Order: sequence, then C-alpha cells, then structure tokens
Amino acid sequence: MLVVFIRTIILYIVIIFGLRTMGKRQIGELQPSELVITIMISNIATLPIEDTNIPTLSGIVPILALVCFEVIVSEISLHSLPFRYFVWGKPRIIIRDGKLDQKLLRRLRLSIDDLMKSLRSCNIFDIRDVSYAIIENTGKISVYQKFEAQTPSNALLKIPTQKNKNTPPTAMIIDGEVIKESFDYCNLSPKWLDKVLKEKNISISQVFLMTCDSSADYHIVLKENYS
Amino acid sequence: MNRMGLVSIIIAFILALCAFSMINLYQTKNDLLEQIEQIETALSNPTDYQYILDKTQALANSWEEAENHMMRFIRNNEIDNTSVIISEAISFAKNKEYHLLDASLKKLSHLISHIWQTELPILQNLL
Repeated sequence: MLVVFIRTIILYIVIIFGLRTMGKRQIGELQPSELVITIMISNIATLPIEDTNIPTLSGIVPILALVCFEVIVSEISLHSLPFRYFVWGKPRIIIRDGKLDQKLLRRLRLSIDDLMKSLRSCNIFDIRDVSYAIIENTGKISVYQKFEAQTPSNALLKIPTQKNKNTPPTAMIIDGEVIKESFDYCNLSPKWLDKVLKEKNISISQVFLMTCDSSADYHIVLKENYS
Repeated sequence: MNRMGLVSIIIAFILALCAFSMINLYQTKNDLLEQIEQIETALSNPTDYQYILDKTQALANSWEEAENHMMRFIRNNEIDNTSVIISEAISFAKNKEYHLLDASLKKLSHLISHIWQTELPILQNLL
C-alpha cells in the first residue's frame, strides 16, 4: 500500500510539472491536440499507480515524452500556419452577415439546438441579432452582434474617461490576510490601509474580503461573525 | 529556462535512459545465456556434480544482481517468473535431477530471450 501511495505522489508531481511545462492555456480551454495529451496523461498515470508490476518509470517516461511532444508541436505551430491548421484546426464562420451557413453546420455536425444554446450563453436570444458567429477550434462559439443589437459603449455614448477607471479592482485582504502585491498594483501604501480600517473601526482579522482599485475605491466584506 | 531548452533536456534524458536500459539488458541477456549454455554443456556429460551446482549457483547470483536493475525498466511479472525458475533450477541441481534442470534451463533461456525481444524497438513490438 505504501508503494502505491509513494507512486501516486511521484506521478502527481510529474503531472503537475508536465502541465506547468505545457503552459497556462492547457489548464483553460483545450485545443484538440492538448485534449488528447491530457486524456492520455491521465490514463497513463493511473496504470503504474494501480498495477505495482509496472515500473514507475514506465509511467513517468511516456508522460514526460507526451509533454515534450506537446511543447514541440506548439513551437512548430507558432512558426507554421499550415501545421497549426493541421494540428489545431481552423476557426469556421457559421453566420456571415447574418446568414446562417447550414451546409457548414451539417459538416461540423452541429445541431441548431447546439448553436442556439451557445448563442444564449453569449446572452443572445434572437438569431437575428447576430452579424457573425465563428466556431473556434476549441469548439466555443464567438459572436459579433449587429450594430443595432450591440450594447452601447462609453465611447459611443461620449462619456468622458474617468481617471484610474481602466484598472479592475484587486483583492487587498483575503480572509484576514493582507495581499502585499496589491499595494503596488493600486499605488497605495499599508499606511493608507491602516487609515481606512481605523476609520471604519475594524481590524484586518475581521475582514473576509477587501477589494480596491488604483483610484482607492474600495469595498469591504466582513467575516460573518463580525458583520 | 526556456521551455524548448527544458524539453530538449528531458528528451535527451529519456533517450539516455532508454539507451542505458537497452545496453544493460543486452549485456545481462548475453551473460546469462552464456552461463546457461555452459551448464547445458556440462549436463550433456553429468559426472561433475559440484561443477554443475556451482555453475547453477553462479547463474542464480548473476540473475539476482541483474534483477535489481531490470526491476526499474521491465514488467515485474516476467522478472518474477524468471526468479522462480532459477530457484527451481538450484533445487534440481542440488538433488541431481538433471533432466528437470535441463528443462528449467531451456525455459530460462526462452524467458530471458523473450524479455530482450519484447524490449527491442522492432516493428513486431511497435504494432
């Protein structure tokens, strides 16, 4: 049993190392080749864990080899467009100028229900609002709405830009712990934080979440037993 | 370190590991088969009991040494099977059951050759 436990830890470390080597994108939306690699790695890893007759190296070597192939394929794809299309596929336009390409929809084996579901997840409930819809190679649908259906932007409404409103708020305190990196991000100092908390008459340990942006606009959520 | 550099190092490490395991296995196989052949030659005229016993014991010792390396690269089932046959062979040699010892040696050489053949990167193993 101890052997299985130690093997699990070893393979866990190898997989974490592998996923980190493949990069952040691997953990988010998967390209076809990345999906294949992820499925294969998870299958290979379980073999030496379950069967102690299989040497651990027989699990580690193929995992590392797959990680290496993935990095090499990504590197080649970066430099060669035909290779990129071959391995990862090509985005396809299924709605062009508001016109649905039914032939392509059939070829992609995508039902109208799937399309409508994807549109709804983009907050579009009427297909007439869509100017362009593109199926990305991850299978996700990206939509560009018709001008009349688009949400007006601040620029369109001619609202002047407010100072420091281009940076999103960041967490400054999480569960009673100060995130030091947030001071640099917000251009603020720990003294400012002390002052704010003193004004509110609360201590750091009472704060569940505090977010703040570079204009020092903050929001505090107290822990349940203090609120 | 850049990702491609790291990948190159890992691939080099894997290839070195493969080469090391193949060379190690090839030497072990040759050494063991040679020892088996010597015992089989001695069995064709089984007068020197002590020589056959010593040679079988030496074969068992060589296998024990090789086993420790092979455990890291080869399925343990095949190694365990070989170990069982070697321990049988020692008993047969001690009890002067030479026809059984001969059969065990034949099985052993077949198993050892099989281990080597399954590790070879040939089409038969790849497909």
